[in-house]
Amino acid sequence: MLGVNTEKRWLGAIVSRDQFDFWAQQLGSTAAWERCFARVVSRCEEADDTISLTLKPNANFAGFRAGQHMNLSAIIAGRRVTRSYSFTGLPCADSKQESVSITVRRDPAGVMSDWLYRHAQPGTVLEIGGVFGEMTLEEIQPAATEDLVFLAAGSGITPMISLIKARLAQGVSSLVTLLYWGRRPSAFCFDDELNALLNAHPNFRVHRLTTQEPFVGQPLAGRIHSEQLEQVLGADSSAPRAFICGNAEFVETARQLMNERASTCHVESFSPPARAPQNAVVESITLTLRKSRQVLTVSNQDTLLDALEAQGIAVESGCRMGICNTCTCTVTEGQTRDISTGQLNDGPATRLCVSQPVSNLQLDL
Amino acid sequence: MTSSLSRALSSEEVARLGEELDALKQRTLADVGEADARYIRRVVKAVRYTELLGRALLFVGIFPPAWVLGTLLLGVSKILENMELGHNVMHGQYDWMNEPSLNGKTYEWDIVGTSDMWRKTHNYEHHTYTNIRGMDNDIGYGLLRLFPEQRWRPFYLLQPLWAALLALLFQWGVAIQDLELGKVFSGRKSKAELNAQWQPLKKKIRYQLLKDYLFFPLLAGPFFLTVLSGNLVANLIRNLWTFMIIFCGHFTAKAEVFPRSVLDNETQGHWYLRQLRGSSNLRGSKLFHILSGNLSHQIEHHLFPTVPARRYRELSVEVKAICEKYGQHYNTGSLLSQFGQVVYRIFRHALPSRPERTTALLSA
Repeated sequence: MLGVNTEKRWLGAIVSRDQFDFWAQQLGSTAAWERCFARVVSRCEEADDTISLTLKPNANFAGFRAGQHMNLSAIIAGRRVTRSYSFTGLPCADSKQESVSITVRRDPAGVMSDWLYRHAQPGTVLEIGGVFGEMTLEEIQPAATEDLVFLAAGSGITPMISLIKARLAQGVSSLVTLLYWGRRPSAFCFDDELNALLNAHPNFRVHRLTTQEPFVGQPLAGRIHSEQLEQVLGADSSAPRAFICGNAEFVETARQLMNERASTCHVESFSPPARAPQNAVVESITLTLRKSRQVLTVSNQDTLLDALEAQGIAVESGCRMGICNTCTCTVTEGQTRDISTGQLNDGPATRLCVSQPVSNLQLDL
Repeated sequence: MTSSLSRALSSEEVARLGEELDALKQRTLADVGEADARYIRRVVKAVRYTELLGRALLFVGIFPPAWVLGTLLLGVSKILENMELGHNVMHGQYDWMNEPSLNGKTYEWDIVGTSDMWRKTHNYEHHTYTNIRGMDNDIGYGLLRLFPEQRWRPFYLLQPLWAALLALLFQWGVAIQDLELGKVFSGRKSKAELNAQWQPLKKKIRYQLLKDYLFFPLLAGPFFLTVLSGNLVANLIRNLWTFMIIFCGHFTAKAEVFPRSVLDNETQGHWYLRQLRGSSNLRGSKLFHILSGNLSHQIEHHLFPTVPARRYRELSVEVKAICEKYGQHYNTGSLLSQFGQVVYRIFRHALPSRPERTTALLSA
């Protein structure tokens, strides 16, 4: 490490950070001064409209924990677009050797997932930003004797698969159960990996439940309901710890159903929050941008990010659903509401994409 | 030198002028996208490759043609980087790309002045208070009397000499502009304030000087002096070129200055009108526009500082039409003619001179 820093110091005397990154890129390398570029090394069809990509990050990658997600950026039509994707593999002991996997389900209306589905090939270079997420075994520290149950719907499987691998790798004998909802048999991801885990770990159970087309010779399982849970979990002796991930509606239903069965529920939602808890009375808000010395008038019905962009002010942003922290900005005066919770924000650090103004505001922009 | 070429506008006319220019800006911004991103990445590429080639040639600069070509290429690289890349990126023209290396708030350019100071003196002060006496320090940089409205002092008698020095050392002028040394000498600014500003500037100056005058020459080994002299001349070329382009932007014969009172109740339309009357353009080839950082379209730049500069050429057609419609002079000319007028100003106003009556912005 000392060597690298000394080299950087000397090199830094004649080459700027951006010059270094430029020439590395011209020479076909993903190396960079500070930024973490990653090259796609493999791509495979995972399920309907779903691909898995393996990426090889450069030496600046700081590693991750099973269950976390990262900000991934691609340049699409000239703009650098950022979205969050879960790591689906396990971290490697040597972070310099690390490769990371993601699984992407194409949403034709989604800028990033559609682009990745159509254009990401071995050789494509993407950029990894921050790594986030508290739904990790390191953070939660479940006891070795504790049963874990994972409820995943659709692409909600992506953070679950790495958590399951991590839990089973601990060598515990307590139960690990996956209930996995998908539209049809061809929509389920990770068949091979899950089957391999089933063979290797007798304490692991998987239940795939279809909501639109059933498996051959089986009835349609349907959307999540309490009998399904009773059938799978009814005979278990202790209350498990539950992990729930999927779209907002699934997460809400699953949480309600599991509340009485589970000791604790850990939840992650993948779709943007419903825009329900809006300010009841429509008002104009005076928005002052402190650093750029601008004063704007915006509606209290728009998120601050939408409002700023509508006025032609470019703000760095990522997931647009309150996950990635990219658009976070300091509110120096005034009050905002987090529309994902409906609560007033109490600290000055505010995620612009999920916040609406409540009073006149001053932002540190 | 009256501005009888433009007529005074009524408040309603100013408001409509503002609306038309606002609409033009929104239309253009809505169209900004992939082509602009491709363009600025090509500019980055041109900056980097001309620099590499220039520096490589200077390493064999013992061979005179290599020295001349290397110096020219390095000079062109620095001009492109300062003007078409740095200046425009720092205006936030490419912030929508979300690209960290092209972010207006963090970009650092290849010049002794710091980008942070530039963002304050140029983006904020000069662009907000353009050509207002006492508020826009770019009027003569506290060193020159370019308008008869500026009070004459004997100091200005030698200003052709000051102007020549400023041109040769232009990057240093830009670097120390915000230190406001005049205020420090006259006791209107504390040493502590100066010191706080000096620290980051000192760091930047040291980096720039070591890079061009020690490390790159050292890398050339026995050819230390050929590289050093090439770097020195390249910086000089950049200084002279940027001085010339920038002085043509606001100090031609028909460019106007304004008293502080124009700010009283100034509307958006009124601000546009002031930018228009205070700026002047240069005619030239496409390459000339690029090498001027499109500041040859100073009028369009001042009306729309956040619109990518490569758009100014197409915008100029509509801006000119709007000027005609509202009876406003569209100040443009060849580099020779416009710079000639600047030189005339430098000599003429070295001597005492009295302002002639100009057309007010607003009709009574």
